[in-house]
Amino acid sequence: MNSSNTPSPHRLASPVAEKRKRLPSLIWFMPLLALAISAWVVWNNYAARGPLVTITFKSASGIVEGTTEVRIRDLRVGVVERIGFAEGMTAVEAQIRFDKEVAQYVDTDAQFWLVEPTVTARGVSGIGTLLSGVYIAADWDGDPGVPADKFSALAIPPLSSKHEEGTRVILRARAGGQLAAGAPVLTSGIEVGRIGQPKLSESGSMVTMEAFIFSPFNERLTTKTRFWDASGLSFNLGAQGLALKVNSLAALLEGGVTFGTPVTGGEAVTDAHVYDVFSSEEIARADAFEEKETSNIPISILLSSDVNGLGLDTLVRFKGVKVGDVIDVVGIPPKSGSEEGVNLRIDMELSRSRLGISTEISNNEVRELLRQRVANGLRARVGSEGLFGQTVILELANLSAALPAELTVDADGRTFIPTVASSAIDTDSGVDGLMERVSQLPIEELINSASLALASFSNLTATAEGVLAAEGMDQIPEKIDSILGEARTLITEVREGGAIENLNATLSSADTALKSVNKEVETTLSEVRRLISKLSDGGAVESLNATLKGAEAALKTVDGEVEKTLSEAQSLISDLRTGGSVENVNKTLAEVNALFQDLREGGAVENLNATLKSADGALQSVDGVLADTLVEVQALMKELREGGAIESLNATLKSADSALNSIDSAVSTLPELAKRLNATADSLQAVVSGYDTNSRFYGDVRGVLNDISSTADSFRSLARSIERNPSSLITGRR
Amino acid sequence: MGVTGHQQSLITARDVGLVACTSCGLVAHAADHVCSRCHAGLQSRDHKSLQRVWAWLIAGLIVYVPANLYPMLRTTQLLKTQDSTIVGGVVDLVHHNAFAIAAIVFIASVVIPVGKFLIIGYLAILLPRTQNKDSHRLHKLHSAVEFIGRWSMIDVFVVAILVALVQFDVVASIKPGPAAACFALSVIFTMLSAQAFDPRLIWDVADQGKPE
Repeated sequence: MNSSNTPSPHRLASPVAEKRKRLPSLIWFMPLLALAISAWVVWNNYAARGPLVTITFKSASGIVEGTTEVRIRDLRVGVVERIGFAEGMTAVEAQIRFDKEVAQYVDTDAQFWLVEPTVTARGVSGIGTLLSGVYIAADWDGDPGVPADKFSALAIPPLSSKHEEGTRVILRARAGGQLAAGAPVLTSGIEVGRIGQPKLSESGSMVTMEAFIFSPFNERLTTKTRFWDASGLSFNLGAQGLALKVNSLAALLEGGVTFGTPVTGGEAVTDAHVYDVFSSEEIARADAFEEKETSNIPISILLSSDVNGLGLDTLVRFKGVKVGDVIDVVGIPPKSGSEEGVNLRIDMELSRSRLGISTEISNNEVRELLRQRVANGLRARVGSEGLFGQTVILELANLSAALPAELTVDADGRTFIPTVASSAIDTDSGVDGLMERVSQLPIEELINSASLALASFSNLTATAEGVLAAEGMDQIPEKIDSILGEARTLITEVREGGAIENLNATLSSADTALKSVNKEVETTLSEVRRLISKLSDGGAVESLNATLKGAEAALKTVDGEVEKTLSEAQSLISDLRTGGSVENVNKTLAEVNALFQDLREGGAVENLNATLKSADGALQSVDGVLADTLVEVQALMKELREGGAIESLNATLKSADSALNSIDSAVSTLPELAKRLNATADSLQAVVSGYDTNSRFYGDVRGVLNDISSTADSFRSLARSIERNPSSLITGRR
Repeated sequence: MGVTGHQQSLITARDVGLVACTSCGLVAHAADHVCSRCHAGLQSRDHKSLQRVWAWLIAGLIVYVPANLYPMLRTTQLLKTQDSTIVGGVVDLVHHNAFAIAAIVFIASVVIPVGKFLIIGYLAILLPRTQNKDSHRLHKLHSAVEFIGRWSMIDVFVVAILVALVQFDVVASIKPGPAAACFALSVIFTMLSAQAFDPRLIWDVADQGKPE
């Protein structure tokens, strides 16, 4: 204490004591600075925190507090802070802290869903979550909206992100299509979109689903675009063989739809345009080509009976023309509670243009029009069509005899057309109906008549046998033998009697006759050629046909003559058999002699010439058949010759002559006929010229003309062969 | 008095009206304010020393709070991000049975800073008191605090090295958290606090029982 109170003389007064101020030093700003730094850090962290949002999930599969992130486009925008049960333990609520920057976008249109690793036919998705754990994907548009803090997570990822450009359309398919959510939408084999979750329609008969078509491809969607099912495999066993069509593997497993725009001129579509999904490309294309009515007439009918085979694809026909489609079949309970069971209400859409109703008049006016038609007898009924009536159709028919009925309108505004009983024989179609129809075929009668025919045939055979077994039949050869012997003696007599010379002379005259025949044949052939050229020029095939028909008729008469001749020959043979006297033969030979005499004198040759002339006339149209006839005649003559009855030759020739005469007379009418046919052909040509060169009729006509020219060719070749070998007219072709 | 005899016999520079330069050691007259050799300021006793000590100490304490509350490291491994505070990191290391590393981290970032706060606070409280105390012990404590203070930076260096090295994009990457800066500031502040301490005051008390 002393030392401090009494400082030594060297010691200076303490400078510190003088300077001691009780003011705080500037150094105290440092703690304030530190406080400020800390406060800034704390505030910075606090301010960076975005809003806390509650998202409800069905289950907390894999969500971890403080770790599970919320990502948008794979960028972290928030994290799960807490997870717990919702009230009543019905769901799981995750509280998510969003980043400040995105907070303004977490508005009512935000969507959230859980991303887990999934393996589908199209590949593996969310594989990152295998390592990092699940995350919550978010999607929202870029416009800040009304903020929200409670959301419900989607069960499946949404069809498209709000940032993806494209068109959202609604597809309507028949139930049973194998379309699953996420299935691809293809066009030209390229995946251009996705299908959303399919939903069943109210009636359960249709499935609707959203489909999203990505941006550059959505321009291909027009009102004329058609979608069809591209699921799985399609087999087609047709005339071309077996066709197996497999689309992409993904489509095979998950289904898929393809679209195409086979018709141009459609208008661009906007979101929520409804498309039908057709079952095959062919049907879809066919539908596209068929102009759809914008304002179809909706009508309904009530059917009390069960009709199998009535469905959505059932056609509605009016006077055989398709006028609409069935769009729905609904079972409804009958009003009065009768015990009849369920009525069927069939909703149809009728095309205005097919019914001849203007598109400008309103539906009410159409209803009045229909009411009038119903009053005049318009009724609906179930009909059938197809080879065996296997296809059920709905028919609108004007039945003036129908019981009076009128158009009714129900509470929902449906227009009901009265129905009448089915026109189908058995609407219970299918195999039963088919069998019914088959059993109604007149098979039995056919078989009966066939057996009758067989019986008469066997009768005939029996008679023939009886004739053959008749007495004396076995003696015929002997008799013929003796006849031949006598004939031989006769011949020697003839030879000795100078008959040979006669014969020679006869033959020479026959020769000259044949020569003249040759000439005649040549002129005939030139005529034939001219005719053929005329035919090929004029193109009157039908006249030719008619001519040929006439020729055929003529030949039939020839046939009759020949038959008559044959019967005469037969009677002659029977005469021979019964008589069998040499005198007869002698007489016969004398007659032969006389015949040859006649021949020599030229009368027969002239006859023959005349015959040939008429044959020539006939030949203009009936050559081939005539040749055949001549062959037959020749064969007949041969038979006769072998039978040893030369007289029959004369008779035959005579009858042939008469036959040919009748042909001649028939032929004489030919020019007139040909003239008429020519006129017909001319008018036909006029008609033909009226047709477009591309029309089907023209094609047919051309085909006919081709046929004609080939016919003419065959005529020409025939003519040539006759020219080379004129005797073939007599002897037939060799 | 109450002072031991051998201490009383010591003559300090101040006793003979001189002042020693703390930077070059030259002895000058007490009236001089600037060292004639190295031009450093001359003060016989730094009477604002305690204020500075307290100020730096409090600043260090303040920033030490967010340094422990906020994450030091933000580790991203395969799309999974983890934030770890200092203590949380130590707990994690213990869970992974890395006891040695856990001990180092724990000592460097918890024991040493907290120890420094306590020791500096203890020195700053005891210094103006006249009660009997062991000036030698205080001097040793002061030396220890000055020596060990810089080692607290080991944590900041670890963070810096990790952040620089572990940058493998998606697989693993480490980013410093807000706590890293706070922790570094805390260490700096406590070091300044320890430096602001004028050890001569310890002996003045020993000599006179009360600093002037």
